[in-house]
Amino acid sequence: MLALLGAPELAFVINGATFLISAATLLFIHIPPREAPETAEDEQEKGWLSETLAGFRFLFRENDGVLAALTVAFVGLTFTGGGIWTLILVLSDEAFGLGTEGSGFLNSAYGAGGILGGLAAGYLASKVRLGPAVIWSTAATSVVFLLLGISPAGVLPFVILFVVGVLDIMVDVNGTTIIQTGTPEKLLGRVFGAFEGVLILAMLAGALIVGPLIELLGARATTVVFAVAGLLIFLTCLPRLRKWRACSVCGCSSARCRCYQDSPTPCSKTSSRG
Amino acid sequence: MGTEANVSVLGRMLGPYGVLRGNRNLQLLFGGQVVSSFGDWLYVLALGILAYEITGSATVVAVLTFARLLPYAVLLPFSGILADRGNRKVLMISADLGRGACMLGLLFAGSEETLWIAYPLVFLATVFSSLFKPAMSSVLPALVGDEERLGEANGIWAQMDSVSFVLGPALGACSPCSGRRSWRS
Repeated sequence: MLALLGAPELAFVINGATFLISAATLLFIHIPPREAPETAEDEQEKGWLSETLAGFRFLFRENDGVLAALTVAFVGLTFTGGGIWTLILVLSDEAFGLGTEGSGFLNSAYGAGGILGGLAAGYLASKVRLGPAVIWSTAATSVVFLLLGISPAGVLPFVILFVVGVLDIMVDVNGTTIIQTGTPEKLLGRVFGAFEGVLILAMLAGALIVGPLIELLGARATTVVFAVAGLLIFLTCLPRLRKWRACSVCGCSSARCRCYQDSPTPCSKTSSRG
Repeated sequence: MGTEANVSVLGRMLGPYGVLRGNRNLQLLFGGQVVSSFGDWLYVLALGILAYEITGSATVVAVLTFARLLPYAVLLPFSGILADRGNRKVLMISADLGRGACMLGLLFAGSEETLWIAYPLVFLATVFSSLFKPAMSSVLPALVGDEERLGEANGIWAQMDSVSFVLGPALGACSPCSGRRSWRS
């Protein structure tokens, strides 16, 4: 559409209009009031720095480090994500013989995988426990991404990126749900702010380092290095992540139980959030 | 029989969309965000194209991308406080209006002499997005209501974002220039 009209500026007008539509829909939404009112303890935490640190404290200190392990495992993936677009561009041109324009199709394969991944994650959300789902999908993402670095040209790179798209969205959905269900509502904004802030830093680091690494090692080797780095970071978190397999909160062994060990907020079977 | 099985599989796969049934608030939120997300991908794409067409410099594109992402890293932890303490609805609407104004401002960045305008506007747009994101994430559990169905809602949201990710660049006839939430911005 933009190419036909020859005006990238049109995108800005369209995007501006979409923000207005989003604001208009928000006007008609009723957001329920927060569950937990402020306590005296909360009052003591007033102050921007202290309040900001509350999000980081919850992520990295509470829960006996289980959310910290999740965050660090995500950092590994996001670091790779920071370099993926440059890698796809260069791999497309130099390794797969598709030219720079081929990167658009490779990106689309990733996006198409994300569509299926969103469906699958939503479907599996009520069928499997979130902990094991995050463990398997995080490990598989790094392993499959590694294959991209050694893949021959042809259909395989598209298949690999499609699968990466599926797995990546599953990691994203399951991780987000774990944080949402394991965090008191009064802290959700700060915890998500801290979580996303850490991930964006990792992404920036990946984006900055990918160029020099490609110059130094080549695109294929850089892809392998990024995948191995993500896998190693994941493996360091694995002992903590594995605790999610067994539920010590409610004691149940149901596949539908979404507790994870040492959670301050047991699953909805045993307690309400807050 | 095979057809029935296929229908059944499809039905199960689409099952999570049941979380939207009867939940007008969630329908409105997701509807607005799908439209907004589609526009976002067009914006990311067009920004890179515009900068590259005007300057022919990949470095300028990279610096603009950096300016677009940096406020997230700096501000997201702080904006979470506003999401927890302030009125999340007002916060999200204000952020949307602010981002909309920035987009209109970018219309004046269409030449080599005026491209500098894009840097502060792109930065500012991300500042507003930094206000929006934690509020959106923290409001979702309250709108879904049933904690057991939160995963389904997150799955639908991720899927809608992926559809925008595919359609936005496709309509722009080019690949995205950088970044998305999963691999992850």
